[in-house]
Parts: sequence; C-alpha cells; structure tokens
Amino acid sequence: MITCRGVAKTYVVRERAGLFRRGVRREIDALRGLDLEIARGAFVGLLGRNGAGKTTLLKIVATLLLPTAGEVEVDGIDALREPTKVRRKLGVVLAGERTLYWKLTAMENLLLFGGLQDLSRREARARAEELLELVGLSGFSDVSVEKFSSGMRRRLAIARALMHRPPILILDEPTTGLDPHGVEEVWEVLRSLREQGTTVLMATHNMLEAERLPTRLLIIEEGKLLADGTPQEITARSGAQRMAVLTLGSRPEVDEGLLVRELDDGSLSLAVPVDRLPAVLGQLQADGVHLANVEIVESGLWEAFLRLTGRPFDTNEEEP
Amino acid sequence: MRPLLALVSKELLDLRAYPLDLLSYAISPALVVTPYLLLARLFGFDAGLVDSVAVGLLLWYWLSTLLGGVGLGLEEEMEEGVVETLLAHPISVLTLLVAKALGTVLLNLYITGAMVAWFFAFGIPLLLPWPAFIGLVLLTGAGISGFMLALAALMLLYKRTFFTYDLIQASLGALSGVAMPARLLPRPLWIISRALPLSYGIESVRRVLAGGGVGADIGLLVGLGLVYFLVGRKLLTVAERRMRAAGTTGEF
Repeated sequence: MITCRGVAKTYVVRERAGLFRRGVRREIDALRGLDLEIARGAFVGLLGRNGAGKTTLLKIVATLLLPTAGEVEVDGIDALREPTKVRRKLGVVLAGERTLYWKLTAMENLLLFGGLQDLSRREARARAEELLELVGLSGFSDVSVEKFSSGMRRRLAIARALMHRPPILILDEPTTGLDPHGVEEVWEVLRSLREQGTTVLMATHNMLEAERLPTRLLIIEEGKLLADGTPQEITARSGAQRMAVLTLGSRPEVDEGLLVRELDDGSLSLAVPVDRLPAVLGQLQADGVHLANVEIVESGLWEAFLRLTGRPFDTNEEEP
Repeated sequence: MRPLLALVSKELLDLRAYPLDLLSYAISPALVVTPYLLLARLFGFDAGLVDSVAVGLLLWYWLSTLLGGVGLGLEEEMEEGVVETLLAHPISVLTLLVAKALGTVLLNLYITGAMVAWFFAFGIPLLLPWPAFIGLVLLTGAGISGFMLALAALMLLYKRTFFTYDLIQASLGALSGVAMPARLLPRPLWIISRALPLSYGIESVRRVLAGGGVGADIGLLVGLGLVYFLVGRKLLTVAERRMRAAGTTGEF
C-alpha cells in the first residue's frame, strides 16, 4: 500500500550571520536511504525521538515534501510524479492544533475539506454527520473550533481527514499535549479505525501509544530504520529485561553492573534483572543487608527504545 | 469546481467571524475619500474632475484589498497554520489564490456599493453609465487579480521581505493614476504604468465618465491581466515545487 525505496532527505539551512552577510550553509540529513513496505490494513507506528526523521517521512508520503533521493508509491501511484492522485488516497492529520479553521464551526470545517476532496455538498454533509458521531462530537457540530478543547480539535482533525473515506490515514503525533482523558478519546477513535481495517501510518514519541495502538512498529533514528516488528517483538529482541527493584537498609557489596541509587529517606535502591534475583538475594542475606521492599518492574518498550537508540529522548531537539 | 466553490464559501464565512469589519468596510473607505472630493468641490473644480478622482479612489480600494487578499500569497493561511493541511488535499496553490481573488472581488463589490451610496449621501452623484461602469470595474478586478497572482508567486518564491505591502500599494496606486492621470507621470514611470492592468481600468472608466468609448484599453486590460495570470501560474508551479523541496510550505 505504501512503498518507500531508498528515500533520503537532506535539508539545507543557512545560519544567520548578520544583517547583510550570508551565513554558513549547512546540510542536515533527515532521512538516509529508507526502505519500507506497508501492507493494506496495517496500523504502523513510527517511533523515534524528536529530529529522528518521522515527520519528514510522513510529509514525503503525504506529498508535502520532496525527497532528495528515492521513490515513494502510495497504492501503486508514484507520489513524486502524481501527487494530486495520491492526495485523494490519503487522509492527513499533521501535528499541532492549527490544522483547522478556528473561526469556522466543526460542520463548516468538514464541509470545506470535504469540498476540497470533491464531495458534493449533500455527500459532505451526510459524511460529516457520520464522522462527528464517530469522534464523539455530534453535539458540537455548530460550535466554532476555537471553543473546542485540544482533544476535541484532534478528534475533529481526524474526522476531517476521513471525509473522503481515504484508504490510508497519516497521523503525526495525534496525542501530543493532551491530558490522559484527551489521549484516551483519540485512542478510542484510532482503535475503531484499526478494527475497520484502515491503513494507518502514525508518528509518535509516546511510548504507551506506540505500545498499545500499532500492529507494527518502526523505530527510526537519525533517518534510519533501527527496528521493525510488533511492539512485543521489538521489546523482546532488544534484550530489555524484567527488573526487580530492591529497597535496602544499607549499601550492599554488589557487581558494578547493577544500579544502586540513594533515596531521599537515606535508604538505597538496587535494580536487578529478574533472572539474577535469586543469586543477588542470597548474597544480600549473606552480607546481612536489610531488605525493606522488592518490586518487579515490567520493562517494556521504553527500555527497548533506549537500548536501541543508545541515548534518552532529547526533547529539546526540534525536527526540521 | 467544487474545491474552488468550497474555498470561496470559506472566504465569505470568514467575514462572519468579525461582523464589525463589514460595517467598517461600508464606512471607512468613504470617510477617507469623500472629504477630498468635497474639498475639490469647495475650490470650484467641476463635477467631471471630482468624478474622475472618485473613480480613481474607488478602484484604488480594489487594488488595496486584492493586494492584501491575493498579492501577499498565502500569508493569512500561513499565520493560521492551515497551509500544509490544505495542500495535503488535491488542490494547488493556484486554486487557493483564485478562490481568494473571487472572495475579494465579492468583498470589493460590497465596498464599492457602499462608497457610491456615501457619495450620493454627500451630494456627489457620480454621473456614470452604471452597467458599463460595473462591467469595467469587474474587468479591472480580474486584471488586478491576474497581476496579484504573479505577485503572490514572487512572494512565495522570495518571501515577504522581497517586498512590503505599503511600498507596493503606494507604488502601484501612484503609477496606475489613482489620483491623477498617468500621462502626467515622468516618462520612465509612465512606461511602467503601461504594464499595470489597473492603469487601463482607471483610464477606461474615466473615459466612459467623460462620455467616450473604452476602445483598446479594454483589450489591454484583459490581455495584460491574462498575461500576468499565466506568468503567475507558471511561477506558482515553480514556487510550490521549491517549497516542497525545501520543506518550507508552511513558512512565510
């Protein structure tokens, strides 16, 4: 359904050097020869830190951006040569809330964007009513978008993208900045789309979202694909382990490989892989270390992601 | 056609968001223009001159609103943050700008109607053959729109710093002969004025006002407008491709 072959994108930026002097020209490689096949009906999550190349990839597939090299096909259509045809196949929800006209009502927005997909007024109105029901906004049809909460705007943006019944939906961080209730509301809509068999390509850096929604997950780092599989497969392959966190009364004699941390109340915590727990417990007992508490922590995608990318999320870095 | 109609309808819905703006459009242009016309009458200038100036000023508003609505490119949409979302649909930048031009032409008809009503209220009845006047005004609007499309393409190619709104508005107004016949301009400036559709629009209406025919001016007005439209269409294709390549579609 979506095919990318050797897709690369290099942004050229020029640093500011003063009022009249041109600054140094820099090249930033956002994607480095990415190959990808997404099948019909798949719900694919694209996980990566800020600046990893997620949005760049989505925009290239959405025909908003031209790659520096490579080929992109959407439903068998060359996205670089025939962007208009491709746009009829896609519903696109870009990041942020400013993807709707705030002064227009929910219904007016849907009618406008339905019109842009060549729907007749009657078709657009019927579809809009159906979609407002789907995203739980049927009671807000005639309310201007500026009065909506962030979560309502995101749900309306998804409805907007679905107006022409596109076979493929592209979502860029659909829940960023939402509270847990808002996130759940958006997820509910996305789950129902997954059940209906809509092909979805969704960028996120929300681990919980990446773990719960996609049937297939791609981890992207510095413009390259690092991992591809179900969230469970990626977690298992990364070698991420279940951990036991022990709270101790005194400092133990343990391997350097184990993480010891001093807590606010003066006690110590020790993180131990579960498979090494019996040996460590035996050692602690032999050393006479008081064991105050044992907690088993399910290490999931979060740890797998850190292991794969080799560094924590850097939320200060912005994607071009 | 449906995408275009949907966009024009959106342009009109925008007006509803700030209803007092409609009141302002009905009052402020006339209040800016009318005192000069009354002053001219006070100094004993004949009705022909007053009408001539009135026509120039009427059409100057067309220039001004089309410059703001079309000539600045997609600045309004960029500020709103919807450009990329719009362009993720099967429409081009040209369609967006044509819709804005149509919306602005409708707004201008409203402004012109209100101004003419005010002129009558102030005792300045324009002695115009109204059907011909309305036809010429619409053709002038189309000619200016063609010019503004080309300007919008330049704005998208070189970004706003290339021009400024005030400079363009003042220059185009002066060169087109808004307040005085363009033939009084120094020759180099007069030559430039021949390349502006608005010049022919103003001159046509003034000629009709003086009881003459419009002659070749209509052809030049429409022809130039068409040339600018075609140049604009080509440049917009280049600008759109350049923005897609550089990743600057939503930036201005």
